Amino acid sequence: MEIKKKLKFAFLTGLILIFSSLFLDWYIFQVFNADGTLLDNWAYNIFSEWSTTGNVNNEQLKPSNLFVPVILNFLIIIVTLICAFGVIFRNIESEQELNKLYPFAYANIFLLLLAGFYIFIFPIGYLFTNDLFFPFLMLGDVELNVTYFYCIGPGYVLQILAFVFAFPHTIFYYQTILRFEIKRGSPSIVIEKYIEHVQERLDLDKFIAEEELKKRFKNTTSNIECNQFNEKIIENEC
Amino acid sequence: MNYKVLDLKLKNLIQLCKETENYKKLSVVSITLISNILNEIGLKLGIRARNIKSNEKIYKYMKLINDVLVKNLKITLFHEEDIESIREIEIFFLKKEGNLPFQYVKILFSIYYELRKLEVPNLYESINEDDFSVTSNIKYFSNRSSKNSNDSDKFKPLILHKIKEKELKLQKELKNGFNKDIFESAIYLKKFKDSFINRSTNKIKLRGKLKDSINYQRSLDDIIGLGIIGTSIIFFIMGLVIIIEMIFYPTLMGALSILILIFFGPSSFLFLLYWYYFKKEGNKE
Repeated sequence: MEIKKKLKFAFLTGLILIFSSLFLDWYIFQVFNADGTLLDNWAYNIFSEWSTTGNVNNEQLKPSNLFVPVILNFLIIIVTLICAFGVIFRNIESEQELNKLYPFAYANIFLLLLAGFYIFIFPIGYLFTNDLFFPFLMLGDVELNVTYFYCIGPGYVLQILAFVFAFPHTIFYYQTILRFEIKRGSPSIVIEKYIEHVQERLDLDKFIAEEELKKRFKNTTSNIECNQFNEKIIENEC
Repeated sequence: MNYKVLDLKLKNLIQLCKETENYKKLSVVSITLISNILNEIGLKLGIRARNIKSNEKIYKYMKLINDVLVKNLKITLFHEEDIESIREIEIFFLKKEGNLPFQYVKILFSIYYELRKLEVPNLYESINEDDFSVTSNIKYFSNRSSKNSNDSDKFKPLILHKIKEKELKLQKELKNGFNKDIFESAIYLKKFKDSFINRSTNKIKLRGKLKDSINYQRSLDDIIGLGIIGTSIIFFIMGLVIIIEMIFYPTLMGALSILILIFFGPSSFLFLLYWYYFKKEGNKE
């Protein structure tokens, strides 16, 4: 596969990963007893907050809700769809006006920033403030004789992978639009046409024809005058 | 229009007008021809066309072209005497509504043929840089300097000085008499100087499609580098998150320190890999 196709494929993979990550668990919190038996299992999804799959549904062990703005999730879905449209239906290589691709370039960058925002802000702004550790940690509680296991979920991991997959295409796409400009026709031809357009029209053939007519008329008139004069002389002589 | 055909027609018209003594027609033709040739010269040099609608005088337009050239190249294209003759005749032409004496018509035609001799190069035509030996040394230095911004800063005054020297030399030569080749060189040097000064804003302009461009094909080599730098950035972000976690929970510093190495290690390695094998490679070319 040539590098351009690989790049496109990687970007599309990145988009799919970003999209699917939103519906997967971003964080996992588990509690084990001393025997290693799973007591509780809480998983965090950025749409539906915490949910449990453990046998014991212990609300006391449930971490507090993180309240990641849902609007951001919808925003990321919309931008992902725009980027997917751009990469599937608009080919940068055969585009005649690269300026028209700026919206897609900005959408790609915005998506990358959103992914970066999730990767960086999610742990700092939401996990640490709720005493949830990054990227994984096992913490024993001597008093309760249990072990807590904190770990980032597949959703977050996919977001990281998506960033890596989407980064080269996004930057390359933007750089290309910024660096290149397709000339619309040769400027010298354009300027030649403009020169022709601004020139004042001169119909020399018409002028020549007019002057020739004038000249003939003048000659004819002078011939008639001459004939009349000759006739007069002849009459006088007679 | 083909100049040979035009000249034949003009010869014919002049002969006929002399016979019919219709000098008004000849004066209109000569004024129009001068106006057209001046428009052509102006537009080729990147100056606007004469504004006929607002009755811009021909001599004023000639002065405008001269002013622009003096400002940019320190040379004058039209002789002051010619501009003065045109001014006198044009005023007379407007007063008498085109009825000029044959003597003035003769002057107008001689000026028209003088203007035609100028052969002004088209500023919009792509100039073959190799044809201009005057800029070869400057180009060599400028190409070297463009690869590295630090070098660029070092070389810039020297290059600008060289350009200035060449400019002065060309201006001196042009003052001695108009020469198409020297004039073309002066224009090219001016274009080159402008592009050198505003290098950062210049885009690579190409015709046709992007995939046919050699510059674009070469830029495809950067993709692997971008992949490496993207991975380096993600490792760096993770490392940064760990550092912030250490600030939040200082008691976990011991447990987290290994993660610092795990994230910052590959980040630095990948960055160095990118820097030495992609960024510097790109600069060397």
